[in-house]
Amino acid sequence: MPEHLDIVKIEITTPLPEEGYPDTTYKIEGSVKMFDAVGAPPFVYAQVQKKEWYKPEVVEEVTYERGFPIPVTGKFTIEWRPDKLGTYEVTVVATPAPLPLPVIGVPPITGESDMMKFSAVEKPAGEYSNLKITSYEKVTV
Amino acid sequence: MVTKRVGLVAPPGVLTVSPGDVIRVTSEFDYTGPAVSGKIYSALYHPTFLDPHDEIARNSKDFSITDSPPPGKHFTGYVDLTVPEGYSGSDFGLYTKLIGIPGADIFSPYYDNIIEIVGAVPEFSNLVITSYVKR
Repeated sequence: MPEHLDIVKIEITTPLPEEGYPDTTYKIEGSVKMFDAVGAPPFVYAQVQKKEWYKPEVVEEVTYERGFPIPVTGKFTIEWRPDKLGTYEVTVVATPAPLPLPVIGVPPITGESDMMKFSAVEKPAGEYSNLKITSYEKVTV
Repeated sequence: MVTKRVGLVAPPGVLTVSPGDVIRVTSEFDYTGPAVSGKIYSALYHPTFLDPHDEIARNSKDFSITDSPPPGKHFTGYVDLTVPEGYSGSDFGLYTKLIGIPGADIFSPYYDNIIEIVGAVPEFSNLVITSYVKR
């Protein structure tokens, strides 16, 4: 479990939907604010944990998607694209330094958002109806 | 570049064409569901002993539709087909299908006997005597 220092407040303005589809990009929007501190905004990441019922939590797959907070306002957008069906737990975390990818060691977490649950479900098939030819004509270019 | 359109016909009307002509086939359908992309495919066919819809010309065009929750969206698209050489008669038909979409291809009805191919009629013009000499 990463070391957790609660010195950054993360507010999510556009959370993930509860349900979505694999290979579709979703946006998380929000803002970060440092308590009683001045300086560059922290680094924010969406910490994505793929839930597998048969795996203990410590060995579940965790990935990080980086967001780029705008100086002064601290607003950020993180794009995330699930690639598998299943349940995910997504938390936006703030760190004082960029995380190396893949993550090695224990990054210090200076703030985290509420956790968002996301289920990637099978894309429903579309329904097509009334396919017909309506006209035909001779054309010359 | 100007596209000239000649003789717009709706089924079951008959369009008369010649080899080399381009037929613009306009098709439409309704769609409800998530964003999708695929190809709209049209073909000119005629019946043969082995295949009642033997294609002699075909073409396709990409389409994409954004997320379309109920009541869905209406889509119209066209495909141009060039009438090949070596065919004539009045038993040619058209059909359209949607390909490259999730799931099975979607077919329109087969529209039999709506295209008539006539051989190109040779055109002579400007027949004049240009000179005459004593020999």
